Amino acid sequence: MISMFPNLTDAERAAVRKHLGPGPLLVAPITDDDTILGLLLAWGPGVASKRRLVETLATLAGLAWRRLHAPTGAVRAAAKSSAIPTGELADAIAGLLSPGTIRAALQPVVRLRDRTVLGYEALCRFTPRAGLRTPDDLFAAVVITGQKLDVDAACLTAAFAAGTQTPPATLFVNVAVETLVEGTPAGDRLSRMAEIEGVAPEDVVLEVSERTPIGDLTRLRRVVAELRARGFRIAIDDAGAGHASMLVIAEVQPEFIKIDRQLIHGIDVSAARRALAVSLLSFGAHINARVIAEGIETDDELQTLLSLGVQFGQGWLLGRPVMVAPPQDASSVVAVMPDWFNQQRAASFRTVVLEVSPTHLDGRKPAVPEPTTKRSALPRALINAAAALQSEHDPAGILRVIADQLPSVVPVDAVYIYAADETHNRFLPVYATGSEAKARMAYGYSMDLGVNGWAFRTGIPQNVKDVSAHPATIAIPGTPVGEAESYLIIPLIVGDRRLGVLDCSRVGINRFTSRDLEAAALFGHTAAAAWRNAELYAELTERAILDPLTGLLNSRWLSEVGEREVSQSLRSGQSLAILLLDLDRFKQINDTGGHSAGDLVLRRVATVLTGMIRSGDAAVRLGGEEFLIVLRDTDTAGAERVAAEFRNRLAAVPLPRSCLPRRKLTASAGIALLPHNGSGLSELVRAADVAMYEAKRAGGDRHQLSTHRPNNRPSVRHSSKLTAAAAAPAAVPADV
Amino acid sequence: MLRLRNLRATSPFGFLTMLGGCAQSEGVSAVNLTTERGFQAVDKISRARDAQELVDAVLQGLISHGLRGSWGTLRGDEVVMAGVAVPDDDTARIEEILRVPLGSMRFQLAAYASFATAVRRRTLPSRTRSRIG
Repeated sequence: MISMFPNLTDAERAAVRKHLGPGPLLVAPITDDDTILGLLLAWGPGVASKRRLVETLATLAGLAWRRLHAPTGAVRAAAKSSAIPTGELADAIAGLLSPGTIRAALQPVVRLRDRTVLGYEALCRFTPRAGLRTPDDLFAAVVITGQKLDVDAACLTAAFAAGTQTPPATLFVNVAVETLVEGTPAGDRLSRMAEIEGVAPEDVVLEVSERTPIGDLTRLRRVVAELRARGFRIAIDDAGAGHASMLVIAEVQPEFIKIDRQLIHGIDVSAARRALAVSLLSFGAHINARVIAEGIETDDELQTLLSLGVQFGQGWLLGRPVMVAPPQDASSVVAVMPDWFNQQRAASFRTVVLEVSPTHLDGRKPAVPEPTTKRSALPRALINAAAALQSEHDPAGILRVIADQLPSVVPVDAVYIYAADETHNRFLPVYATGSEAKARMAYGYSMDLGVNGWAFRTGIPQNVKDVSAHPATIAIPGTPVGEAESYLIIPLIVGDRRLGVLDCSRVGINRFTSRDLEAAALFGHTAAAAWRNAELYAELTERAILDPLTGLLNSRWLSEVGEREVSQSLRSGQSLAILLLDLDRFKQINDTGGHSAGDLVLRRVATVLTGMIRSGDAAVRLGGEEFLIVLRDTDTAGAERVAAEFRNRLAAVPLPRSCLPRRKLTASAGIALLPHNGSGLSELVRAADVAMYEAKRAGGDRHQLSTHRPNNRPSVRHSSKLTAAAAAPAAVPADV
Repeated sequence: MLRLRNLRATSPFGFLTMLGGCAQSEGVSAVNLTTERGFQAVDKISRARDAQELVDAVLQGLISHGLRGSWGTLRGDEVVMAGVAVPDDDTARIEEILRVPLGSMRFQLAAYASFATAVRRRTLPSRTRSRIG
């Protein structure tokens, strides 16, 4: 800096240096698009590390300079210099107010990642007249002629009318701040206009733009709250340039921030513009607003925006404004057929109807609910959750407990739990709450995909502040596209066992704090341990009641559960049959083929049994070559049919070669029925056992119905296969 | 540099870091709108109603970030100082030494290499189109 003053004496140079401060001089050009306006000079402590700051301020200065001088200034200057007499201008504008003269073209607002159309911005169009060529000319002129409310109303009517042409999609409608804060209450006025044209306020985003700086922020806050109460959502238009002051953005707290096209233009070659876009993204995330880039015209700009994390955008590259039968000279509008809109790959920004109570009508946006857990309450909530989790031993039940207890630790709108199927490398949805529960439960996917796949691979709890913007995000069929959603993703891992993932979901961007993540991670540890314990408990329980050789139920199950089954059938008046089966001459197989052959045959018999019984029935290996089947809701004929079927299938079981010359397996069966042959399990088993031995004594390979009557001496009736010769009791042949 | 960093930032692990960290990481200082001084600077610039308010707002932005500076308007081949951001006492002392008001100083563009370079550096391609909204 000091070098700019070469004619100074050394003493003067030292004095100036002292007062100017140390450091090199940074020079940043201030430009209005392609015109150099001037230079911003900066120096001082640390200036070398603040080069980007200086460049950004210079860029902002250039954008603001443009806003101050054109095109509003040009029209105003033309009007003041009488290039266009004010009266002539007013007449021209009055002519535009006739119904249908101003019409709206619709430009797609798309998700940049896949160019899905999420909405349309309505842009007013008219046939040029009296020097009014563009909408900017018109809006500048109405400031002079005092017709701004009338023109805004005409533009709004045209926009709402155009919105009825599209499939369900969000309609972005421009509205001036002045229109909102002046005249009759804006909520009533806009609702009525939308209603007349047949557009639901919930589908409308009002793009608020300042044509002149707004002074009455209190009134603006009140109006915005009133509009939200009626279902409208708010966007700040021209952010970063124009008159969209940061104060208005902060006061309005819009759902959408639309970055001005001037800021997007050349963003691929301007580091300062990129820095500003990232700043607006960060700012948007803090106030829970989605950011839309306007005026994207080149692929380089698009790629740059994607790399910065901008999710949504519009511009000629993505879709030009379209209109069914455009007016004359509307060169920026593409004429389309009415069904054009139905051919677009479309989705919709989810309609978020804010819960606005009367207390919010003072102009404040409904506050984001604070986590229900204060710092001191968190340990208590975790202890209570742990107690509830530990008291549940059923693996299916534990999932419900996890979903029930989680909201006491972290505020959530929905909970999704996926089990990790390592064998097939897939996430299996096992529990879901919230409005998307059905769709979530219907869709499993590869563990290599999605934010869950990403978080699961890291093994670390993750706070995903905007799920739809995450590069790993995949679409879940049946869920809304483009919805702003925050996730806490908690991998559920116990030791080296990876159980799955727990997703905590909230609607909106950046809805979880780092403390929420910490609390959810702690809860996740407890939940994972409880889930694993429940699995182990189930495994142990299963092992205790299963026969290790055949996988059938064992006698322990029969004594613990079978009795209950019988009692339940007795209470409900349902019949129940017990088949006691004993393989004939099984000792022969062990003797000839060895015990390994015997075990193999027993496993094959078990396969036959499990393959023929119904899901409600039970097959039990009592020990050795003795089996028992519990048949629910089965009468005599049914039991005999099952016994005959078993013997048929048994005969087809292949025997090990070592068992030759034995050709086939046969069995003897005793059948006892509830309540005819007993009123308790042990009595029924005894009756079936007696009947089975009767079948053995008759030569085997047959079934026998028990004739035992409670408190009566057992009697025997032979099956259809039995002949009269078998009617007389006989000694059981050896090895039958 | 920023582009390289952002390419890396699009990986699953770096994305949120980039988003939350703005362009502040790795020594790059931009206007962070989430800080009070950054917010105030951008807000004042966007609310400026005339050229002088704009100059004042930009220079105030420099001061709030610990810098000093000046705005030089380009007039032909001269840079004319439209405003200076230096503490008042220092301004008085400098003007006393230089015997000329800081706000009215002019510099020949060609005489200062950094000025000429800054002007030449401005090479954005022209893709302007009339506003349509």
